[in-house]
Amino acid sequence: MTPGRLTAISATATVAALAIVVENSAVTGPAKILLGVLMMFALPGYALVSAAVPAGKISGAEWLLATLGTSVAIATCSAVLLGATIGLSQRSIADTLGCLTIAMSIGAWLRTSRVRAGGGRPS
Amino acid sequence: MPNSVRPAYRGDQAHVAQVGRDSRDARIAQRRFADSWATPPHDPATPTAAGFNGWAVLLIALTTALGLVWIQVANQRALNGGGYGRELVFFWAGLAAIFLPVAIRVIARGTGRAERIVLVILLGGALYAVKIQSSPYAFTFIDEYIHLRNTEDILRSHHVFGYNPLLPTAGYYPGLAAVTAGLENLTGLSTFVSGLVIIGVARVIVSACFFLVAERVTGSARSAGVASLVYAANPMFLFWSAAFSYEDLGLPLAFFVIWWLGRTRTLATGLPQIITAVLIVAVTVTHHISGFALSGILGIWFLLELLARKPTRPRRYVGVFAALTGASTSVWFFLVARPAAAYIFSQNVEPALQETKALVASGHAGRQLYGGGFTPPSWYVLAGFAAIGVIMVALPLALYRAWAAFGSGGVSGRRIPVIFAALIAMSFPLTLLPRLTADGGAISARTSEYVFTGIGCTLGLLAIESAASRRGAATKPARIINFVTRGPRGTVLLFCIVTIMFFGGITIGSSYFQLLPPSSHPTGYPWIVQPDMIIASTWARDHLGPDQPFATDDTDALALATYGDENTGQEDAVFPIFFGDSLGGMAARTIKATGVRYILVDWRMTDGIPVNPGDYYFSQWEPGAGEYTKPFPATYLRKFTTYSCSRLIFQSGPIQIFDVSGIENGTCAPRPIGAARKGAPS
Repeated sequence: MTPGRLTAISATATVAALAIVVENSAVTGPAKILLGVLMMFALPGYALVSAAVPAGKISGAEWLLATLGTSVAIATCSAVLLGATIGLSQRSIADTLGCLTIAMSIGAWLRTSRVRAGGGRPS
Repeated sequence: MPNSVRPAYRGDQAHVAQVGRDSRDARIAQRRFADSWATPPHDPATPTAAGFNGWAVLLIALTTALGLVWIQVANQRALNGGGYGRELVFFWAGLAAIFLPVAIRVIARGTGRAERIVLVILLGGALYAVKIQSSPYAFTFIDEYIHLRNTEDILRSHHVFGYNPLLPTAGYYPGLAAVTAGLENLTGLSTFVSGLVIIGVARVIVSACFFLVAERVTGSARSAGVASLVYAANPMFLFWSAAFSYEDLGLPLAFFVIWWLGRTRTLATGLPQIITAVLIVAVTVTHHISGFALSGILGIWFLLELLARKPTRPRRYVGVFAALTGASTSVWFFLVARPAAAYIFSQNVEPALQETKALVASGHAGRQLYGGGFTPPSWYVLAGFAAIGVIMVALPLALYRAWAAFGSGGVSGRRIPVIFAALIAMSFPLTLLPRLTADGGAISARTSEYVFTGIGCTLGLLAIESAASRRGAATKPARIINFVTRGPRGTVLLFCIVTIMFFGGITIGSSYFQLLPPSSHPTGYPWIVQPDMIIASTWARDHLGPDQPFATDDTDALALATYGDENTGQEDAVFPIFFGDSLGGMAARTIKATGVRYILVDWRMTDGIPVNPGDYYFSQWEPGAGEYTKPFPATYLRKFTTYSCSRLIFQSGPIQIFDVSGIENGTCAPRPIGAARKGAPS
């Protein structure tokens, strides 16, 4: 489970980085829609849940639900915070969600790696 | 043996042994408590090995699709101007095809847990699709225009907390609008599609989370399925809870908090509670009542666990987050969203409470149910009363079962959720009283989204067969209840209960004349924004500029404020402009007092009465509001063309826009300009 989890976390961070690049360019069409939907409803939530919840503590379906709900909450808070400060625009929301996802993915990677190095016991 | 427990004398050995037993018992209790949210409860009615019958789900998905097709037929025929009653046959048939197969399969004893969850989510999604079908191209509900305005303000200005002329309070709860603007920015989708996606995701969250929480409350997946069906039967679920409105994001997030906190608070690490904190902030900035309801639920949850002496650490999390939610919601409500207090208390709660108090004291209803110019068929009214009646009959049985199975013996861990649900359910009769008042109907309606959580979990207990009665040791009432609810008889009874509640709930929550969209060529006064209103609104924005002070009727104000970006005056303040034959006197004084510079007149007001019983053209405070039997007098609108100081600057079909800035700034005193002529456009 741990190698697969590390792979998923890596993929999350990679897609988030890709989304930042795409949103800061003139790309339009299905690719932008797909990445935008992932950024809003999947990536941040998955990264944070992976960082916060040890592997195996919740089921796969619960993980999916947690990813969805957490992503919406992160997106809501980020959008409101941006709107109240520097301004909510395509670039600002993409950069914020993307950077948050990458940061949380790094945290999830480190945590999962520590568990793996510690013989599978969660910290 | 540690010194702390080394016996000083022989008598201490018994004490040490007792301490050891207490410690062991405490560890066992801790582990059992930790496991209580982690694994599904054992439920004899739910096979653990079967899990998921893909063919059954596929078949139900097909019947659901068929139901949506029938509803689409009903909508299309209504748009084409067919006979309303005939089209409704397709509508009800479509709903039956969506709801009944799901209900049968969810209530059936042999259905797996995973399948029940999937079917509950499918039902929630399908009913959401019904709402989309009723308005597939644009938002049409009144509240949707409020949040559409919020979203467009954010997209234009890139900042939140903009003034919203339709509902100033909404501008201070920007969660929904901000996340929708964010999705639109990221994907390039339109505001309409982005809003549909956001609320659709929220619908999935609320359906799944409610099932999982109900499963913990009732201890049974079958009961949770019944509870979910009951929740889907609440009068607001079909249309109101599916609208692009801040409550329809705030409440699902609140549900998620409750599930997530219960699920993760016993994990060894406290990191999952970071997610809880983020969720609470999201609820706080999205919807006021959801935030207060969440803080109340967490607070009562904490107190009940305190009484039950639950393990300290998990209980502490609930207390901390109850305090956090209460503090954040209150700070936002009173310090940030300043108009909110007046909106909630002065304009809604206080009038409703005063009228309810007067109702109780005098025994006379403040308004006539199903009254007004449009009266629905008698079967429609009876269905609503049947739904209420079923709840009032079934609820005491379920409450007795809750007490017999869980409540006797005081508050304990296993009983806390049931006690909580029962308390919420018992408030149901009280929530019905405000419906009999003029100002309390809306509040009573909206409480159903909260009260039905308790009603659902409590009625879901009827799906559990009492272990005590199986042993033959139950009381007589319990044996009677068990006789009625056991086996195939009980399955049929549950099916009948949820079905009557579902169809009757729709008749309570929706006006008979608003189940289907109006004709594309409506006669009379339309209850949704028409294309020519949108054309007039965009003309106003392009030629007069945004944020111009306008006075108009309630429906046209929605278009002006969203498509036109105009500052539509508060209807409660501007309606006197439109009443009376003279533009002088009260009309002129109101124009000056409110600062109105432009007036939009919709002559369709003179062709028909407001379709919603108890409705009005401008404001609930206007003369004759809720009692119209004749259309708006044409002479009242004719004054804008027969008096000076009112200059016609736009006309398209029945829509006219007048410039009255001369009256507003005091440079012109309105006088009649000759013999009255027909002001109505040809």
